[in-house]
This record gives sequence, structure tokens and C-alpha cells, in this order.
Amino acid sequence: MAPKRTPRQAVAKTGAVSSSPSLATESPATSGASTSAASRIPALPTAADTSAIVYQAWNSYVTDTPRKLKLVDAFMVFLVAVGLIQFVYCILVGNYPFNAFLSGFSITVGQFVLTASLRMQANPNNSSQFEKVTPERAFADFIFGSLILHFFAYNFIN
Amino acid sequence: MTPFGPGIIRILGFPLLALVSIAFALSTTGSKLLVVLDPSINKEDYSIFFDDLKDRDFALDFRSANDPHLSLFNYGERAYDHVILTLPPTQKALGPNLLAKPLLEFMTNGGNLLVLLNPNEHALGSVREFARELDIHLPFRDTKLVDHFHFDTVASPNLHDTVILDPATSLVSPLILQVARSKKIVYSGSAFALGNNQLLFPILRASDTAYVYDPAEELLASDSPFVSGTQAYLVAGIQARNNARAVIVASSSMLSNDAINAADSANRELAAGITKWTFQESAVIKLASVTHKLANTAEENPLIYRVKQNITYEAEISEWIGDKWVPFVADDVQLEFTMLDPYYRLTLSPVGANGDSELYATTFQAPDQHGMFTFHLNYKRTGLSYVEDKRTVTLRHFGHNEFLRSFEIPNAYPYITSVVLVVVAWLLFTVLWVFSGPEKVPEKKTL
Repeated sequence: MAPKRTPRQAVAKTGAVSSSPSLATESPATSGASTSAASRIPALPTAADTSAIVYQAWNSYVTDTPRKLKLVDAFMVFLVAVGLIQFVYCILVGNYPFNAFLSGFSITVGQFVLTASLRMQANPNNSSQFEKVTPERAFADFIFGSLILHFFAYNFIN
Repeated sequence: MTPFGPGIIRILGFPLLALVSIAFALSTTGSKLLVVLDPSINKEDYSIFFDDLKDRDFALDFRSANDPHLSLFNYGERAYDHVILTLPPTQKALGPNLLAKPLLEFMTNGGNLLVLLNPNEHALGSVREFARELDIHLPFRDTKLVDHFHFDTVASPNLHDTVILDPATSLVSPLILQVARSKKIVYSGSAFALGNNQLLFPILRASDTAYVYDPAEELLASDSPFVSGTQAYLVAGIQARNNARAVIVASSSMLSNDAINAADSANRELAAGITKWTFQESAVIKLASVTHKLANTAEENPLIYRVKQNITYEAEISEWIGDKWVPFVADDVQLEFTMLDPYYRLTLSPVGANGDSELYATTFQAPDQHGMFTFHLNYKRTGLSYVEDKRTVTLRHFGHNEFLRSFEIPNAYPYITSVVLVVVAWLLFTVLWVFSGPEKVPEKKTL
């Protein structure tokens, strides 16, 4: 729902040379017959376009995401990293105490799943889909599930 | 088998040796000896032989072959411990109590048997059948062992059928006898052939230049001697799996006074050696005890072990040297740890003497396979008594609390640290979540 902008302002906002704004945002006052024909054909995306998209996505994530969700996302990235390290180690060295590998790997995977469901349920943007579950209730479920998971991992690793 | 070494023979000479080897000997299975004589044999011709036996504390019972009351069994038990059987030349068969079947039953019951064949009439049907059971092939009638290079020039200058044997080459096993080099063995009779039975124990064989043939058929002799050379055996024995021994001597004249009194003859010592082996006075070993246990513990012979435990196995073996049991030392006693196939075959090393037996021991780690395992000690050597022992134990697998803990396995350290890390990070996360304040709702940017 971007507000209407003049083509000049649109070009200024997107910075470096980029694809021309969509035809719908051109105001009839400034568009001339010469530019409208050229700007109706969309150009192929270039490498500069891709990096611009990534940058824009990252920017909007940083600016638009609430702090709590960013905390959850940081935790999840950490879990993925730990799980990946274990998996690579198991492939390289072998799975001799297999129960230990399963326990270490599954605690990261299980914790990731629980955290993902917490993120889903506690996101205020999703509150219309979770009418019966308040964010506090989601957090309580998260803690309960996490404790059971940790109990399992501690026992299974022997 | 004398308790002294060969050196002393040269020092003290024959008479002391003979006295020592004859006087100190008792049988391990009893002293009741039955001698079945046939009427053609004059007991006085064998007086030295029988007197030597009496000196060794045997109770001799002389019977005739056609004695109707003669029986090897008495109410189902052996009536005698040993039997010497001599064969009559004139009769067609021995009595019904001395056929092949009763003789074999006598051996099955643990009795020992010495069969002396007649020099002229070598075997009756029943004895031939008995010998065939032992895989010994007796010669045909009227055959003789002849040696044109080593014969007694006085006794048989023309026929060469009294042969002289050199103990050094003719005696097969040192278990029977060790004689001085100057002695010889005088023999007159026939010889038999041996089969492939692995229980056979050959004792005395002919020299390379001897052969067995029928003197009445001279022309055929070179084509088909019955048996010749070192394949012709004069004395051979068998030790059955229950350790009963039987020996067949191809001619009883080898033990007669004439042969013993011949110049330089070692027949008397040979007779002593043969009878000692046959009647379980020499080359007898026994398993005194067997124990197995967990290494460095005290409980003996438990029923259950666990995989990969250290197990100690100990066996004690004694040898009979004529009047008592002494430690038997050997370097090839083996233990098999078996479940259908031997998983381990270990040599038991002699540790030291333990009273009247030698202790053999080994320690090993039980294999990583659960099941019913057997400690199988199987010591069968030619001429010695057979020693066999089987003990079955259970090998259970690890209990659920006997596996290695994760922190004892260095390979599991990354996983342990990951679990700890995740729990710590989770704690941090919940604290931060709970204590982060309410969000300021970001204003939508408007233009």
C-alpha cells in the first residue's frame, strides 16, 4: 500500500538505477508521451537488482519487526547453528555414541520447532488467527514443552 | 617310563635299570589280571615274564581257554581288570566268553587287554574279527617275518625267520621304552598291518629289509608279500576313547625265556614296557581339577558371565609314574572357548606345581557375543591318556546400566556441550522475553 508518489520522488527513494516505477504510479501531469512508451516495458532483473531486493528486505525486517520477535529469531538462528555443527561433526567423525548424537541434535531441532510455534502464536499480527490463545498462554505452552524436551535430552544422552 | 634320564643307563648299566623299572609300578586301574593260556604253551617257558608281572603286585589268575567257568564279567561288572590272551594253535576258536564281542565289551567297561598271537597259527576267526574292530589287519596263517640282513645266525641260519631288531629304529614311541644302544630285540613270528585309525598307538615295527611271506609259496613272495618294511608291525596298541588300552603282540615267543635270555636282548625291558603301557601303569595322565572364574575374584565356577569380562581358567593335570601322581608338565595344553565354533583357542601355560599336579592357567577377555559358551579342554596325545573336559556357562549381554556413560566417551563431548548450551540459551531467552517491556508500536510511515 505504497502511497502515491511522483515519478521523481520514486526514483529518488529507490536510490541507484533501478527499474522504473510501475505505470500505475505515474501521474498524468508529468508523464509525457515519450516516457510512457519506454517505461511500459519492464527490464530484466540484474545483480544490482537482487542485492537491492535483499537490502530492502533486510531493512524492512530491521525496521518493521517488533523487538520480541527479533529476540525469538536470534534464538532460532542460534539453534540452527548448533544443530548444523553437530550434524557436520557426526558426518565427519562417525556416529559412535548414536544416542548422544540423537539427543544433542533433537534438542536443537525440537527447541527450534517449539520456538517457531511460540513466534507464530505470540506475533501480534497473527492475533486474528489465534483467538483462543493469548500470547501469554503460548509462552506457557512453550515453557512446558521445552521442559519436557530438556528432560528427554538429558536422559537420552545417558 | 623310568623316572631317570638316559644318561644313568650308561652309568649304572642294565641290571639296576631293570630292577628300578620293574619294581616301581602299580596299575591305576586295578591289579586283577587274568591270563588265558592254551595248553600248548608251557607256563615255565614264560616264567620270567610272569614273575615280573607278579613283582608288580598283579594277582595272576591262570585259566585255560576252554575252561567252562571262565567269564570276563561277573553279574554285569568286570571280573578282571586286565586280560592277557594267548592263542591256541590247535583249536578252531576260543570259548564263547572270549569272542570278539565280549572282548570289546570288556574294553568298553574299562578293561585292558594284551593279546599274544601264536607264532605259527596267527589268528583265529574271533581274534581276527576283534583285531579288525581295532583296524589292525592280522596276517594269514603260516606266514613269517623274514629279514635276510638282520637275522639270528644261530637260531635260523637258513630260513632267516628269527630277526634281530635294533631298538633305536624299530621302537616307534619313546613312551614305551628307552634302551641302551647295544641292545637288540629278538623276534620270531609274523607281522601285521595297521589301518588308519587315529586311536592306534604303534609300538614296535620291523626293519626296512624285512617282509612277511608264506614260506610254502616261495615263488609268489616277491610279488605279493603280506606286508613289508616298516609297515610291518610286531606290537601295536590302541587306546579307546574311554582310555581302555589293548595291545596285540604278533608273536608270544618274543616274551619267552629263550628270547629274554638271548645275548644282549632287550626283550625283558620291552616286555615290561609293553605291559606297563597296556595295564595303565605308565603314560597315564589325569585332570585333577578345573576351575574358571572372573579374573581377580574368588568365586569359583560361576554360571553366568558377561560379554567382555576377563575370565581366568585353571586346570591341574597329574601324571602317574608307577607309584604316585606327580605334576605333568607340557607346553601344548589348549583351551577352546566355544559356541558351535571355537571363538578362542588359547594355550594354557604351566604356572607351577600344586601338590601332586601341575597348574595350567590363562586369562582372556570374553568375546563380544552373548550366548552359551563352553570351556573345552581337549588334550589327546598319542600314547597318553585322553583328557577332555567341557563346562558350559552363559555369557549375558550388557545390562542397561552397564554401558559406558556419555561423559566417558570423548566422541560425545560435542553433543553434551550442545545440550548444555541449548538449555542455557533457553534460560536466557525466557528471562529476556519475560522482562522485555511492552513494544512501542512502530508508526507507519506516511508521506
